[in-house]
Amino acid sequence: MIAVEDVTYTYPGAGSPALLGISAVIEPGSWTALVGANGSGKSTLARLLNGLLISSEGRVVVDGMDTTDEDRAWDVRSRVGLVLQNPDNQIVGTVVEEDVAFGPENLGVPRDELRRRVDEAIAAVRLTGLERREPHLLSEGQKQRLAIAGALAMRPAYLVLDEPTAMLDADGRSDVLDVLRELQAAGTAIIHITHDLAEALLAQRVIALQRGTIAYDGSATALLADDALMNALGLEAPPIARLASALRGAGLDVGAARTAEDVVEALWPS
Amino acid sequence: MALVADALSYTYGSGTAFAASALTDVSLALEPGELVLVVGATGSGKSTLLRLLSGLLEPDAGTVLVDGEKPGRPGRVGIVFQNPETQFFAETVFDDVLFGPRNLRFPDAEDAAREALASVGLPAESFGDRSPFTLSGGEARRVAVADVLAMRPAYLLLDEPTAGLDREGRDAVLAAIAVARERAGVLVVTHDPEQFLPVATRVLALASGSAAFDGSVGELLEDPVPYERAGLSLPDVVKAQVLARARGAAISSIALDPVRAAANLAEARGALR
Ligand SMILES: Nc1ncnc2c1ncn2[C@@H]1O[C@H](COP(=O)(O)OP(=O)(O)OP(=O)(O)O)[C@@H](O)[C@H]1O
Ligand SMILES: Nc1ncnc2c1ncn2[C@@H]1O[C@H](COP(=O)(O)OP(=O)(O)OP(=O)(O)O)[C@@H](O)[C@H]1O
Ligand SMILES: [Mg+2]
Ligand SMILES: [Mg+2]
Repeated sequence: MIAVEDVTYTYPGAGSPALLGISAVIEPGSWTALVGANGSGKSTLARLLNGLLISSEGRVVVDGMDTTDEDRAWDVRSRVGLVLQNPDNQIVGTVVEEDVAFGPENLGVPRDELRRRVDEAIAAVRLTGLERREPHLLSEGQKQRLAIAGALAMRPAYLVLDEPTAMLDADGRSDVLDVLRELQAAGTAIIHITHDLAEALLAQRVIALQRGTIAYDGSATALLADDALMNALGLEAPPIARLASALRGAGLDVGAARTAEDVVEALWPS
Repeated sequence: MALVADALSYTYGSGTAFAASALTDVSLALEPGELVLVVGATGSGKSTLLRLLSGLLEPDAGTVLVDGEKPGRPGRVGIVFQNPETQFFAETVFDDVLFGPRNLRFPDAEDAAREALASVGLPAESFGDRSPFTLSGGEARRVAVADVLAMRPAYLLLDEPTAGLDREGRDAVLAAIAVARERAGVLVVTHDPEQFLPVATRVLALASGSAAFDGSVGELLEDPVPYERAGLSLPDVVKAQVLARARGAAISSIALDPVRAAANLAEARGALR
């Protein structure tokens, strides 16, 4: 598990802390959505989870390893994969397939296994055909997919994704969510940062940050049902949920409809 | 007065072994007061189109005219890049936003910068002295939008201006766009057409570099087939009404707003019973 113990983090030169007294435990194999307004501290927490940032107070312990322990830094990073919000900050290879291979190669993964992992990761994010392309010549959505492929090839026990779908089209989003579902089924813990509450609904647990503190930690459905809290946190229900709730107001119960198909099926059963 | 693109085509790395056609025969006109949405799958050519319209790239074929001139005159066309960090260069947020209006010799340059920052919900008092390179993702995007708003260009080209924004930030940017539009033409590239469809005048959908749909929002809603055939998905709220129609529901005009859409569905359901 990842144990975040009373963590406070202040950026060098910043007047106030970006995170203040955060505590949470992330269990192996769990799926957590991390939500909150711009600047609430989501990316900061993500970077603390894999030791990219080290807290000024409190500590983060990954499967027994304290992230302040420099001797274990590489172990921590290979257990906790992180897909950064801006893929440009993460891409290191000169061509797509080298970039994906970079992490596992450094882990000492043998050649054959490496080839297999790279091909699988590239296929999973649908970048097949672009293996030899220079990363800076990709479109932004293609770069985002590349950053995800790089993390997949590491086969981390915990995968932290910072707004991985922000720059993707609808198909790309569902591809990524499908990949996450498969990973979780295979035992990977998912920590998914998003502004899209429809995506957060896939998680068993939602943590909402507000100005650097945890303002909510519970189920997505309970959060969505609490209009006052949603408002206070600057969150917004997905349009389909607003449609369903307006239908309920008109006396038509469409249950927990999450897609347009669900709504129509409830109203006009086929 | 308009930004007019006629039959643009563009291939990256022309003449090399890696030549990749990104845009084929795309035309577009943007007049002050209009809001044109450009949508399309990853890699369909949206950002390439913006680079051509702003004069950053020269088309292989076709022409771009800004009020009858070649693009390039400072301050006429403002572009917000999809990756906001690529456009920052100053040491502080305020200087970054001030650079444009000052270079254009606005007598009220500082006010323009201050107003632009306020309009995206980042008051200069709290964010002006920060380095633009240490902002959170959503804060950075808002500053990038402010950079361009402060120059009061006649045409605004915005690549994913609301990606990664929270509700408040998105509403602020939408409001700022509405104000800018009173005197400017606005083109928005987005994967979230939901937010912009209610205010857009036209939609251009690209598929593999070509126009798959080009028409008004009304035309798109009444006949979404070409749009969907291009691999694009309709917003859920619209899709629910389109699917309901396919099952015989009588819906006279497709609504974009969830509450109105619910009214449409409820009425049709009552009528069916
Ligand atoms: N390098 C830095 N130096 C100083 N302050 C920073 C730095 N990086 C982030 N901050 C500040 O810390 C706070 C939290 O930032 P963080 O990036 O964690 O937010 P976030 O929740 O990920 O927001 P977003 O949704 O916009 O991505 C913000 O107020 C931000 O301005
Ligand atoms: N500098 C470049 N050199 C070579 N090919 C490029 C370059 N930039 C983009 N491309 C390719 O051109 C095509 C169009 O790219 P573009 O960036 O216009 O897509 P987009 O529609 O903006 O996609 P996204 O939604 O992912 O941002 C893509 O296949 C991309 O890989
Ligand atoms: Mg962030
Ligand atoms: Mg793009």
